[in-house]
Amino acid sequence: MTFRRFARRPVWIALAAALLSAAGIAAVALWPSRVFRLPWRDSFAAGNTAGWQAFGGAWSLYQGGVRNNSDERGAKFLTGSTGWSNYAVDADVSLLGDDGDAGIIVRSSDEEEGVDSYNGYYVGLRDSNNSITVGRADHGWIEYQAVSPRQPLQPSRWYHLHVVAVGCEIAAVASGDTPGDRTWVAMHEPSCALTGRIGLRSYSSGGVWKNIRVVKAGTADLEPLLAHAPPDPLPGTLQSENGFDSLRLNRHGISPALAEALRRAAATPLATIGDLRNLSTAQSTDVTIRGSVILTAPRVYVQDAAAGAAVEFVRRPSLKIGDEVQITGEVEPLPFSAVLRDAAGRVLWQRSPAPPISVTAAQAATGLYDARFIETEAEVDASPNPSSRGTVLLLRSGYQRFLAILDSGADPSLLGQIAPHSTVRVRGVCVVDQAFTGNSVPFAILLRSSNDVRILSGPPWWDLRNLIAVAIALPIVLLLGLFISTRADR
Amino acid sequence: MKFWPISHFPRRRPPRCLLLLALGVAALAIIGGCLAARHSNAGGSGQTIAFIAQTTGNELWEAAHAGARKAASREGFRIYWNAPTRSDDVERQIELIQSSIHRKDAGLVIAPVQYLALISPLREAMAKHIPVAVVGSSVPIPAGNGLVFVLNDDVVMGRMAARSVGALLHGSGKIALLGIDPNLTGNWIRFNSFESTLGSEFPRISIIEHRTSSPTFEEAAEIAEQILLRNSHLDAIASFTSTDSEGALTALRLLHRAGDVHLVGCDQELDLMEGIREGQVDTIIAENTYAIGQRAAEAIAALRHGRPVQGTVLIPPILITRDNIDVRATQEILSTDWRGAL
Repeated sequence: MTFRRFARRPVWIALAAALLSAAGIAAVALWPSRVFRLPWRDSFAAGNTAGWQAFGGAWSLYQGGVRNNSDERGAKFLTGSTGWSNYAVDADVSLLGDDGDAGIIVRSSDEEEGVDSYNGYYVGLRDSNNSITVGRADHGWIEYQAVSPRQPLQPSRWYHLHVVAVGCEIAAVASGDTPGDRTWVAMHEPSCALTGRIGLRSYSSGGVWKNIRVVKAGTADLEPLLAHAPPDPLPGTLQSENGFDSLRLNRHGISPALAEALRRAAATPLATIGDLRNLSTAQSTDVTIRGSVILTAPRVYVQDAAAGAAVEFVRRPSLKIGDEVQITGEVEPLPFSAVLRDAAGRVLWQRSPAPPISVTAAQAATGLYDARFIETEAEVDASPNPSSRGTVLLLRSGYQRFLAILDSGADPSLLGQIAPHSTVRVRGVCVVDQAFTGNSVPFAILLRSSNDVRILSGPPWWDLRNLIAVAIALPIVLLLGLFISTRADR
Repeated sequence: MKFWPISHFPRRRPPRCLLLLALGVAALAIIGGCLAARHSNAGGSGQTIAFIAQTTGNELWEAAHAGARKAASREGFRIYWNAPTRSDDVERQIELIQSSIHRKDAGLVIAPVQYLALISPLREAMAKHIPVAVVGSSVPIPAGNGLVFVLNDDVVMGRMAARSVGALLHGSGKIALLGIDPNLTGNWIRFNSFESTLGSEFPRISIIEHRTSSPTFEEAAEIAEQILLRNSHLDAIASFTSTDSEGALTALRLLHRAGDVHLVGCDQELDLMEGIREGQVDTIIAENTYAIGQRAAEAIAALRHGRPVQGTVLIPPILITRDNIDVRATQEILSTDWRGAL
């Protein structure tokens, strides 16, 4: 059949076009992440988090690695291909808090925000009970092993995790920085998840990860780990009350840090943050407040049940979002909130960050929510712009315009994907300080990470550009239809 | 413009090509559907019951997960399981309900974190003919029209707690109450039941402190510590949430008064079981969340299959002491092995 004869059959052309489209759609659907080839390594040192997806937490680039600066339980940061099967992951991991865990997820799929909301395996360093743990997550958690390392796990120290997933065996070794400080864990699951991507996860403690590498692995990589790991207990053993009791390992009773925090908390008279605004501006007043950290950069903000305040430390302690802190400082009352200057303080304990208060832009524009963690919906007015303050997004809701500002330390690539006129939900700390607003808008929202902007809907299709395209295309299509109809008649 | 007469169609034989085209489209739809299902916790949605707990990763709700999975698999359903990471995050719970409505799940089991805020989303689910089972704490919507309540019997729980305190103090003494939360009806009912039982059956026991619930056990510990420091002759603490019981236990240990001051708590937590074994916690009145999860999933299945269901089911709580902690029924509600339930 010649092409001319073939071309006379419009049905065949339509069929060929449909099959080509089908092949295209199938290719896109079946191989969504072909760019993730093994071996693979992260690009954090180059300042790039493209290809990573956050589920909770506050993730930002940090000294050649990535840091989750939040105490949220089960925050995840995932990348790679859902088609990866037998592989080994290497990473350096550091815990930020002293009552939680941080580690590596392997063979993950079907992820959502939530404590154990993914389908895969997790190997973690857990300092709440001093153990290296391995287990299965399937929108719920089954712990398979928890082994105590020789040297107690400590926050802010680097540990190297080497995790191997081959067939239905998952094994790992965690190495500290002292010789011989190596701990092995392993698990076997008869009907296992055979493929999935990798992820970073923390529970209550936050964490820092760097030097992440993924390579193909086989049984030769697995065997040395299995040789050292303790035997597998029966699945579910650690889920019973007795099993839970055995997980206490060498952590019984009250930790000295908590006892000290409770002693300090009980001994100091406290002011509520809301009262700081009412103090005299004529004389300096030193007060002690209690609150939870809602932002750490570009400035520290804390809030209690009723109000929020900015804090300027003399020597800033290591803080994460969610930390309950006790701070003493000199109060500078402001019209809508207050600043604590020359402050000193300490973390009392870690807690999951509080949810935001939902307000409208009109309410936020009154200043009533200054220095508080809020959430609001708006339309994107213009594409994100880099500035000295960070990446700035201009938003509009009703008659109010405001800014969303991402600190310069965070990766702005996700914000770059937001098209103008999209509807977004923004979470962050509301500020009316002109250092951020430049008095061009009533308030700004300081974002914790680029994941604080969630796209609710894309820009409307009927914008000017598309209307012009339709106006041009429509007569052409009509003429073409007329031509085909006339040809068919002949 | 001319139109083709109908008699021309058989000669051109388009149906065969159209059939091929239709087959191609159907194949695409099947591939797409399979791909979507492969990436979903919920699976196919039509056979999925969404269980949205107050929070996950704790023993109170993982036992409900186990019970629901068991009942659902027996009835031919799957369980989608998720919850906010904090037990006071109403917004996230509403988001999860909206996702369930959007997926057109077969049913929704919800443990509300707030009394009022879930009225609209739950009414929307009911309007879209998604059966709803409310567990844990009530909401102000009457049962019926696809809504059932499977609740802990909080009146009995409050009464059991009061009688435990009365028995431990031999009818007289001073006590402090922690963990009162007027935002949760279940908690409020158990508190009222406790007070009325204590007033009528043990009039010589006086309540010297009433404290609202704390979001973290550390804050609860701080409150308990203040109470203990202020009241050196306190005889007992009764707590209406597991977080506050855990805080009270921490404060008692810190001040070396564990065992001297009696501790009676509502709701289970595995750290408290260690306290029971060591004689530092006298009694825990536990919600049978395993049975609650099971009955809720059964109710959804019954509504789906058009079987009659009871509007409100009350599940009796279980009293745990050192004497019965090792019995099977107690251990079953303390297990977090949600997967072993099948």
